[in-house]
Amino acid sequence: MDTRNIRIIGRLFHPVLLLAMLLPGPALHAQEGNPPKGDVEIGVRTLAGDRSSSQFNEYRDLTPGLYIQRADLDLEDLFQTKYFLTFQTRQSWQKDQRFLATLGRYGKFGCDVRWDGTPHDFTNTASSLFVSSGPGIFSIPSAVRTNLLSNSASLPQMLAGAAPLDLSLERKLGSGVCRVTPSAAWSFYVQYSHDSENGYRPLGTTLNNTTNVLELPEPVDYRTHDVKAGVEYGTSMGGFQAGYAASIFNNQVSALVWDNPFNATNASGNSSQGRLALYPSNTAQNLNFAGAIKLSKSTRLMISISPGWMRQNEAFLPYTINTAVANVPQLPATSLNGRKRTLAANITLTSHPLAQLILTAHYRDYDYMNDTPSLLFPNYVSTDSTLANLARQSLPYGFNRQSAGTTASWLLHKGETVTLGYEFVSMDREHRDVAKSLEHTGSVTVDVNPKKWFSLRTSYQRDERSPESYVTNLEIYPQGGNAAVIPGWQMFDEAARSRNKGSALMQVDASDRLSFSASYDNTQDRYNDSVYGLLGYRALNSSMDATYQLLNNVSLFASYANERYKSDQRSRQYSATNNTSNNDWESYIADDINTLSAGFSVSRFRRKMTFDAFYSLSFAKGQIDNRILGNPSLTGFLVTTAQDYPETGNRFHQLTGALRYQLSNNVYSRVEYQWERYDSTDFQIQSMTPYMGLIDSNTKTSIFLGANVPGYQVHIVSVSLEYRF
Amino acid sequence: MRGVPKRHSSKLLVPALLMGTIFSASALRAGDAQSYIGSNACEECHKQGYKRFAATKMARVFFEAPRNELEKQGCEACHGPGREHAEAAREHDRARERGVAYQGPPSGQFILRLGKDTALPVRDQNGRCLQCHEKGQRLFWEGSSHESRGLACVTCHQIHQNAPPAVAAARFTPTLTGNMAFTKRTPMEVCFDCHPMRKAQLQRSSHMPVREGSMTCMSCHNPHGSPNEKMLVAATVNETCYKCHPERRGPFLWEHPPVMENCLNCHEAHGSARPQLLKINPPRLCQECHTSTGHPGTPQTATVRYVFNRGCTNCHSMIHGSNHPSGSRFQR
Repeated sequence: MDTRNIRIIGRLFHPVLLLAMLLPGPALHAQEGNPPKGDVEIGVRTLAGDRSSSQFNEYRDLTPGLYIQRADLDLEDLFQTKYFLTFQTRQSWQKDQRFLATLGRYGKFGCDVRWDGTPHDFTNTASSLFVSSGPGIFSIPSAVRTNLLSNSASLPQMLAGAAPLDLSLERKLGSGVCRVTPSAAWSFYVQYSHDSENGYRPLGTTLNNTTNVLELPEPVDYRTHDVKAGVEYGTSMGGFQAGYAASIFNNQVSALVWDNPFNATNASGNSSQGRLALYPSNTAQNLNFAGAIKLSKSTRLMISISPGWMRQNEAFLPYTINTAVANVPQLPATSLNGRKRTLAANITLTSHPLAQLILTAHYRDYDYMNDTPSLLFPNYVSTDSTLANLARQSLPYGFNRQSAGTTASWLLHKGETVTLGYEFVSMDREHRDVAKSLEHTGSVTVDVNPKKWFSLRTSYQRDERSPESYVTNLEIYPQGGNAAVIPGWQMFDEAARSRNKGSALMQVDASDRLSFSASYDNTQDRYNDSVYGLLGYRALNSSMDATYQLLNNVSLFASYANERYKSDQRSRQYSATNNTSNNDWESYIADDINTLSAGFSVSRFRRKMTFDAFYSLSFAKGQIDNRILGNPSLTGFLVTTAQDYPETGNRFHQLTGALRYQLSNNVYSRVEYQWERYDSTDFQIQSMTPYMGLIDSNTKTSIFLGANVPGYQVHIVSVSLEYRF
Repeated sequence: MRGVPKRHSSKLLVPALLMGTIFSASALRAGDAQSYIGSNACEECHKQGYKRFAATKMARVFFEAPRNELEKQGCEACHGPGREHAEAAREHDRARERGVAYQGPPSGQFILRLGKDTALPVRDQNGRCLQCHEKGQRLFWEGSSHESRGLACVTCHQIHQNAPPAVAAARFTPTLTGNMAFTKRTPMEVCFDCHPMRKAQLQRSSHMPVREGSMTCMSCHNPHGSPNEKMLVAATVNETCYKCHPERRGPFLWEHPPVMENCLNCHEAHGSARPQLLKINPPRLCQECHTSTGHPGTPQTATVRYVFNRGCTNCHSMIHGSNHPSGSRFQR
């Protein structure tokens, strides 16, 4: 029996199995009372076009042939008891399948068992000369290496015959949760979930500085166990919640080891292998306490506090896999013993002292305390090549963010509200450039609802962030080695910033048939003290949405959105001996994205037919322009590579038309046609082939995966039958 | 509106609403035991609505397993005592049977109605729901953004039936959920009514699996209010992201501080036209902060390994943190 036959039998087996699960349903419920309800939709699908595209398959599994779109079973009065059982599945036995079963008794308890599958396709054009010779170990076949050692110029020819690679992940999440409510006031829950993620994704590696940039498939074999348990008590006067959560992440592959195709013998400055540490296994735990109490008829106090602990203690790898590097120092520790504590606390007070006035005040504190030891590495091996001759010190970065704010909302009239708000944020950081910064935010919100068919919601926010001082932190190089810093250079996440943010949303129900909405958002950030780095950011978004009920059973809709994002940054190309403003350059980045959609829906046409059709288009354009600020004719001018990058862009069309027809009391048929088209222009990935030496001559001894995300055009036709009972 | 000229009906509307408000306020006060008539009386006139409601989880609890006096009140738990409403309705019916005009107040004035067309203030509408639902995810509803902007529970939820009617094709793949009490087919579509840009961002080339139905807005946000910023389900942005990406949480030997503080320093979680949900492509993303000598301070042409493919992360691939003794530059 060939593979195809096995697949066909497998696909036939699935619906039969599903029916076998559903049919006993009636036997499980009471003869009297609520009859079982449910539905099953089974269909056949065919696809035409470039359906191998990773963009098409990114998070879904649309394969031709038989499929189960959905099945629902709702059994009340199970075994003539007061228990119920529900079962739902979507996209059954596909990679993106979902199952949910719930057993419970109304008002007493409910237990869910869930299964979710999520594929993630990264590329469908990757290939590699490397072969996997163990978990996380990629070898180069000896014949290939011998060939390349004797003639590295043969690389392009060899890569032309490289084996295709599947670079995708598959995520499977199984979980179970039980909630017990012995009374209306008390409830308890316990939950367990197991999340596994398997597959490969592209990962860049480098050997011997950047001589051998070798892009590899990163093995992903993650298992995460999550456990939660908690209790809650609540009455009309308030309540409390207490819970515990633990997350245990386990990476089955802790290191990536790869061969250097261009060198078979270790030497200082020329390694035959590389090794890097993949994400280490770790754990996180949290306790959660929250409570609320009515202090008076109009005042409510809410408090939450959640301490957390994060741990990581995976054994360190040696400095290098290259045995030829001499004088490698001892590791200061065998593992990190990484420990972090977090404490999230919140107090919120709301009060309605007058019928028209709502006051809120809050205090929030998030403490990220890093108790990880700071380790001094007297030296390290750079890219498995040579000693860097630099001491580096790991730093336990931490921060504390406290915020306090208040809002006052005045209800002027029914639906008309003016809200004034103020928030103060104090941010303390450890081992970063800004030890303390203060942020003040003022806001005003005006909601107008003069007619029940019209509403306008507007808001404006002004935010000022001011570091007490900006001092470049040099601790990571405790014995020297810090690069010179240009005066006025600041990191945007810490730098002084002015933010202006405005938004408006108008909703109009012009008649019983026509509704219309429009929105506008404008955000402008300016980094006032930054002379270099990110200088500013602007986002300008607007949208319109309309729905029209043409007839009682016919509705039309259309929407349009435009988004514009701009940022500008300044930098300098310099060296220790040539550090002048004549080598300054700027970059202007702009994204312009338009999204439109339109469609119509006809429901219960002649009582039997429902028809839906819609189209959507998203088209994005991205620009990165670069400009020199100096005079090229002056001595020492360095900036010869400030060129505008090619424009990037993509277009995504989706067209769907579907007809659902009632064949009998219980049976419906559905015919659906979908057309999708995706086009992309991206100079960064479309130029990618495993060999890039023709584009960048410095990569003649580098190998890439050729991971591209090609456009596609796919037609999907599906015909299905739905049985409802 | 048969029998009443349209002009008159609009004139009647204002006093009717006014009266409705007054009567609603009085109906909000707990009625005495005689004021309650039980859900069966409601079914007499509201057969279809009752039938739809009876299929919901809430009705099952109310009708089959009430846990307190409030739940035992059934329909009246939310709509208030129904005796006056029923009596007015019966009076109306009797007048119609006699062929005379009904002179009394409209029966609707004696019952609490929830929704956009009622005169009952939003806060009072929500109060009906919060009688039972102020627990769980609603503990922080008061003072939340949605509460302070005047959202009613019924803006997003429909109470009287489980799910909207079937469509031939869904615009967004529904998530599998036991809670179907939404006004739209998917919870995301409810959010998009007021957050239209988020709907547009779903169509971006780089997005989380929301439109495919693996996630919803509620995977990261609690629309009922939370003690956290942006109504996040976890204390910070990063703790929210770690729920699906626990490998990124470390602690690492070599931390990248902006990564550790906030994933959104580099990523746009709601969708991006740049790869990997990035705000800007590398190398410019990295050059927003890194301007040191050598390649970080060089603009670079489009055709070099510092730019093509993943730019800086062609080599500095462990950018989220490294646990390798030689990984201080995130290359190991």
